[in-house]
Amino acid sequence: MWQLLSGQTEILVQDGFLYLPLLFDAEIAAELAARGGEGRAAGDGGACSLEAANRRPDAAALLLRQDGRYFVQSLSLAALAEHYQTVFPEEYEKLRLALLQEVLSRLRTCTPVLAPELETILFVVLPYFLRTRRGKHRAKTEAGAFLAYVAESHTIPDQAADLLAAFQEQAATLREVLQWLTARQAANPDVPAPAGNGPAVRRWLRTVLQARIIAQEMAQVQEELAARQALADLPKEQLAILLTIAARGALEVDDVGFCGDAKRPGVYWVYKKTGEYVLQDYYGRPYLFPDCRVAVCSAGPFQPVVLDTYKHPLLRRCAPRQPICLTDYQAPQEFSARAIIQALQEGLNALYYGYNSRKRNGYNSLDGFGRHHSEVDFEDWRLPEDDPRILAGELEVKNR
Amino acid sequence: MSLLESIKEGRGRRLAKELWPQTAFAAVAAIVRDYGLRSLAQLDNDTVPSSAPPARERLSLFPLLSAGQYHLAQEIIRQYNNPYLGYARTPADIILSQRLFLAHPDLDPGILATTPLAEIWRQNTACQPEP
Repeated sequence: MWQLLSGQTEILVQDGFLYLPLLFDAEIAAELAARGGEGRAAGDGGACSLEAANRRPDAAALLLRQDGRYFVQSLSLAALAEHYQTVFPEEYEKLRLALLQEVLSRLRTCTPVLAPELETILFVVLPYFLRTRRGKHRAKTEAGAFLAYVAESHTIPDQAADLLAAFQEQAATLREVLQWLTARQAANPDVPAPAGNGPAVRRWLRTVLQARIIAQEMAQVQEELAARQALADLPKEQLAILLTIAARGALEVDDVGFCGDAKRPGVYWVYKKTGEYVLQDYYGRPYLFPDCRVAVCSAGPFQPVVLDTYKHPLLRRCAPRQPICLTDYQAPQEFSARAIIQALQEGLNALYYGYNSRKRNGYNSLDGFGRHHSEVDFEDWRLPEDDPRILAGELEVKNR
Repeated sequence: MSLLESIKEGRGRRLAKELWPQTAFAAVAAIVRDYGLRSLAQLDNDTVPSSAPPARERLSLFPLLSAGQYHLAQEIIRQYNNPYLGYARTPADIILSQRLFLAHPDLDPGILATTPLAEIWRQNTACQPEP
């Protein structure tokens, strides 16, 4: 784009549009001859705002004539400025980096406390399983209820003071950056559309893009400051716990939790533990299944997996991170709290109630029928039928 | 030929892909643009810039030229108008196409499309019997 505006290509600017020299082939030449050399002379039409020019459906304005040469209407300047970021993301990023060079290092230290995914996991998914909106933990906000619940079972860690100090320092830095951006915005008044040729358009475009970048950054910083202010209004111990969770990137409360993916930063596994449960085989013999974590990845696919090394009739073999065999489950395509919750519930239900001892469905059967197809043996998990924990009701036989 | 074979052949002929016709304008436009020709005199005097690119194998289907280049291309087509002009790939080919057409007006289009005009000219000149 900058090459086009470098001045090597002759460009006319009129009514907020770029006009490029008309190129010819036989058909265009014939059409032009049929129109009798129609076309506005350059300079006609007077001043016109960019927005009005954008809306104009005037086909006759497509051609301009200057010194016997024809120019054809191309891009609108307003559209060029508006969509520049989408069409030329690399050039836009370069311009952004050059413009914000002075405050870039400070901006980079002030990353959001909670990424959007983490916020959803913390304040929507986990409270759903913990039922924090009920009972004594009821609070006006889901976040407050959840943090009050966590604060009860977790002690404030030692590094909380440092995290709180860093939090306040970052807020101060953000306010400084906002001041810098405001001053920079005031120094760049609105620039009218250029009337000149290539280099003038280039200067205008650069100025408009810089103004857009400053406005975008200001909006982001203001949003971040507002989010931080909302957090700062929380009770101090809750804020300390929240900052600790964000710094660690992991939490477990009452068999529900999340942890970061070791290989992919910013990606989390949300899990719920099954606890011990019992399944019975075709002959009614019980098998004790140990605790495991049924998890869903925040980066998708939203299919439940068992994080630990585990075996089950609905898992293919004995290995970690195996997807659970589900029938008729259409995994959602996009991240949402609903997608995570639904996948976790489907996974847990499949492990508890998905195996039918009479049909022996799944990859493996508990009783060893058709063992020649199976790599997995459940004999080591078999319990005596009169196991006291089953008789006392401590262990529930899920597929009875 | 049986009826079945005849039907198959007819269908095959009908469904076969046809090449887009190489127009004289597309050939001349590519030459004017690639060799930076500015006037008709450059062809006549053989003063074409030496730093010319290699001849194109495929021509642009819908070439577009600036006003000056378009007028020059039209002038060349008017001056050297002949059925072989669409097969020219270099400025020398433009002049040669006219001579070739005058000497051999019934050359096969397949040969013209695949062999440089200079090569065709050389072969046909070599084949002619000594007077």
